[in-house]
Amino acid sequence: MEYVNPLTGFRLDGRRPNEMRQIRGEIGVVAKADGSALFEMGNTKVIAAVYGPREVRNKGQQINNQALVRCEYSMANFSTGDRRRKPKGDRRSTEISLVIRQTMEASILTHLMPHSQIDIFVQVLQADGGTRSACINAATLALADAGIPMRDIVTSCSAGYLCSTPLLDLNYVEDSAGGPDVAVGILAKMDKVTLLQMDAKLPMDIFENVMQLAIEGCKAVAHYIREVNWLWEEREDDVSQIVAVKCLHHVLSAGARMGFHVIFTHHVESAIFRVLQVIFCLKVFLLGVLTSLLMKDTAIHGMAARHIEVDAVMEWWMPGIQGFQQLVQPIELRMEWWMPGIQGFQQLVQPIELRR
Amino acid sequence: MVGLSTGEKHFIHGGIAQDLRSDGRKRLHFRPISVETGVIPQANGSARVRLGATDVIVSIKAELGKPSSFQPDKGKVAIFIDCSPTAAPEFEGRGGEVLSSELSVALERCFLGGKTGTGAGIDLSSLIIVEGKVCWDLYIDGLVISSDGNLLDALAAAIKVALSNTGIPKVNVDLGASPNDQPEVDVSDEEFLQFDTSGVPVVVTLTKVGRHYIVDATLEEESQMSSAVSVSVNRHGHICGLTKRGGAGLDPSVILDMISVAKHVSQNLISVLDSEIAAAEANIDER
Repeated sequence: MEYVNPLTGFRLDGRRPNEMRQIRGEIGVVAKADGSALFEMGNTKVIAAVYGPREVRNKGQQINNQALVRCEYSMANFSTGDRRRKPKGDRRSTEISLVIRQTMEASILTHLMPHSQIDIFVQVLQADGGTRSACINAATLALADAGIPMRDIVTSCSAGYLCSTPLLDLNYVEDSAGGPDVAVGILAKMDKVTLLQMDAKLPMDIFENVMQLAIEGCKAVAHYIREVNWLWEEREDDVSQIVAVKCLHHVLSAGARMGFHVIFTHHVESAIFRVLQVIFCLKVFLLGVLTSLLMKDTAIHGMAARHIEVDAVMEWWMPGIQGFQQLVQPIELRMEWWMPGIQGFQQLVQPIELRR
Repeated sequence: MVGLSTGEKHFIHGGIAQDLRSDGRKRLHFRPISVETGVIPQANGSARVRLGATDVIVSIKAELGKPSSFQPDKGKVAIFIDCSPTAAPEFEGRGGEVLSSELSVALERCFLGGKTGTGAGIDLSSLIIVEGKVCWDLYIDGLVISSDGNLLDALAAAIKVALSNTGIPKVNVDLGASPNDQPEVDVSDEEFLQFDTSGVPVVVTLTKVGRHYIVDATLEEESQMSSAVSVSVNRHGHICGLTKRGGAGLDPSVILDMISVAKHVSQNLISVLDSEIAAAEANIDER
């Protein structure tokens, strides 16, 4: 079968060999979850939901110095072309659960959340090749939506080799053609590979090309995911209000830490709140600069945009180099929200006392 | 699992007693319903229904099958519901199976009209192709994506919408020379037949909290229920199925009262669904 048209060079679905399918992401699709996302790659459509960090359900699994990350992958009955009723926990889904768990665990700052548990559930609504890549991308978005601290965002994409051509982002027909399928997951900013799987044989030099193609795909996804976060930020609703309030808290507590013994009256607070809202609209430039600066030596948060907001505010408050050095501190401070353990609580109480 | 403090419980009870619930609704008000059709392109029909924060997807697939020997003149319909762990961490692994089968059985009771299929909301005889030989098997698969109470009503509404969205391929039958031959069926890719969905019921669940009953309970309200009655009613006001859940006993007169209220509420729900279906179909046409 001709998977690549020898005359035009186009694939069966009309794509060029190095062209991805249409990707689309949406955040906050499951209202009850702590974080959730829908991710589509062409006809492949998956939903990921994140619950946690929360108390470990099964005390026997608790880890004392880091968070327990769990993952379950399930496919809807209607997700494949011919309807099948699959038993839960078959080998394939167990393997994919494991792959997703390991990949996400590599990017989550688990050491910041000891004694807690993070659950990632991915549900495939439609399968058309590349489900594991789509699942990883959806899980990244959902983790970011949940505000889980991460080193970097993980993105994934697959590539294959058919008709002597490396092909990006295989669909179901191409996937089942029997050629190699190389699934790659990378930490986008750090440029490290966290997932690599291949299921056929391939000469070494060609493998290099195929893998490089897949990495390019991952980077394209990462680029897109950053945009999704932006969209989410710009949505003018309750969420941004909450974020604004949280930012305000950060500014105040960070200010207190630095020795700004300013007693904010209620009016000042609301004035700052206004300014913050303005900054929400004007953040674009600062964010770009700060992201690149922060990436170097600090563990960056998945929801970069949300928290760099804080830092943007910090810059505005204390410009200059000292101000920037202080930027690192509020990042540590963030943990308060996710870790209402005793240490977290103490941290939380401290700045407030200082303020008074 | 809903963790509620004593104060929150009092708040819910008090609100229901005063006909002003936590989210501002009255006792017999539904949450806003949003309907999307054709969400699963591979299926013959599909729908996504959101009822507040409850979110379900139903897909319908038609496959050729053989009618059962007891009812050679009727097609087969099966309903499977799956609770995805995305809806609640408790559904992880096999955790959702009990709820899934409870919902599946309750829906089969409401839509398929028992073993004989006489009271079915779907006309099973319209699924037959060659009597005793070939029929359509209709697989209705539901998936709970997000759960904020009242799953049964949401799933039933989604099934109703998905059925109205379903196109069954037209078939040409070649009966063969002798009556014992297996007839050859040629399935058309282009022509589709629409279902007659006028008789498909909706389900209205009345949840009893304290001395009063409410429709469309949220997860918090459901955790406070003493018992619930799910009534499925079709467009003509006929009752197609009934399920009582929950431990506490109910006075027969209260049950009758609840049924008449459900009947009244269902007519509103049907008209809301009809307009939502029309809007969703129009949306697809525009695209």
